[in-house]
Amino acid sequence: MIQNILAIFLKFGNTFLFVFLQLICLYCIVNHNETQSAIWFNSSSLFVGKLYEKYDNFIGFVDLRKENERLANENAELRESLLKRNYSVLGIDSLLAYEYEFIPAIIVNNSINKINNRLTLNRGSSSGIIKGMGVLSNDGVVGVVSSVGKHYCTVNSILSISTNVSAVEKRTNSLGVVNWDGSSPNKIQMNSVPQYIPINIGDTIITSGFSTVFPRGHIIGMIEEMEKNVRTGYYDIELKLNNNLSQLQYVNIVRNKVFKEIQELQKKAESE
Amino acid sequence: MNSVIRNNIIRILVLFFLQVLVLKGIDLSIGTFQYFHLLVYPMIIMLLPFSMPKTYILLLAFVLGICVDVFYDSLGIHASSCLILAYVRPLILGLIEPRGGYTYDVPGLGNTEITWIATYVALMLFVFLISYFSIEAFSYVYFVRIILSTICSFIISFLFILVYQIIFRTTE
Repeated sequence: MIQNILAIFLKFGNTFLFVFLQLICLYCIVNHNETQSAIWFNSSSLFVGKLYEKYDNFIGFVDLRKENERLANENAELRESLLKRNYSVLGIDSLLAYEYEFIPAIIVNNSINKINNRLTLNRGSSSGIIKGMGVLSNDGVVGVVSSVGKHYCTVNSILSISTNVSAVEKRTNSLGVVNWDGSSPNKIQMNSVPQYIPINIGDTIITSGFSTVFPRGHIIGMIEEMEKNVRTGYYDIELKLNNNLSQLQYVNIVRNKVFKEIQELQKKAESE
Repeated sequence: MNSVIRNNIIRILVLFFLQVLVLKGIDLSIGTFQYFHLLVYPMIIMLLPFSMPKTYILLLAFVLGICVDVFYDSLGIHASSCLILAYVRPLILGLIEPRGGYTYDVPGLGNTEITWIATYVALMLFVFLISYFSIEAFSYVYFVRIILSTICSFIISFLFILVYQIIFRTTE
């Protein structure tokens, strides 16, 4: 046995020496040269990121039991609220509620560390999904459907600098636009709120319902920081995102039943 | 035998100091075109005697590379490419072995034809330069730069080495 190992070492000794010395060289290169060390650490962090994503997928699978429990609880809650709703007087609110339909979907791919983050959901044109539909989770806004395949669709996450969501402050009802600046995955920015409106830190920002994408009243986040911008005349607002996009697994796609009607109407108004 | 060792030591010292003191200082950039690098010290590894054990060649290449790196302020880069050169040397020698094998110990113009020397130097120099510029860039993103540097540096270094061979014929 030992003789065999020795024989192998004698035969490939030079190769071992070569690899060993090369490793020393690599160590020197990475530790004593600026450009090379920058490239090295960048690509290794990329590699680690990939690995982490794979691990996350695996954990998502293992976590199913917990997730199922949570869903069952949620189902119970929903049934309860449905019951309450049946008892409440049917008014203008319920009419609005029937305007939207929710299609449950599972996230099959997710990212939060890019500038334009995308999700993939397991629903496509066969489930009646079309481009431009909103996506919500129980905790708030997730994103907008960007392209649709037969069985899958991709969603431009709210954590994407190209996604704009029309939003209002709950108490004062002041309109603004929520748009991510690409920095932190749990903070999101809101602008176009004029400075004369009395808003405070801790106020809740919800979807406005003025677009056909999201129904009114779904939470986007709370105001964490705000500052008056002298140049624009608007507030610079930073929200704490209510939704934890990195841990989501189940979402609802919003279908607006009167989407076509509204769109046609708007087109007509534009052409006139 | 002693004269072979003595000749090699002299050659190593002369080429090493020629590289790090003289050739390093020569600026061959034409405006923004900075792809010409005169690297001739790999000749030290090329011209080592055939009878020298591979292990010694690897160790020598490593030490030589580190010494050059100290002068070039690029610790590890020259050493790494020198090691690659030392490692592929036996493979290249086997590839272009003349019929009847090597009947002499030192590769040099006095012992063999110029065509063999030119082929040998070209192959070795190409391996050295492509590994050197790849390691220097450290990323395949700079593919064009690596290729351009290799080709430009190859031309001038190759000519330099051939002229050196013609001037200093080795006859042992």
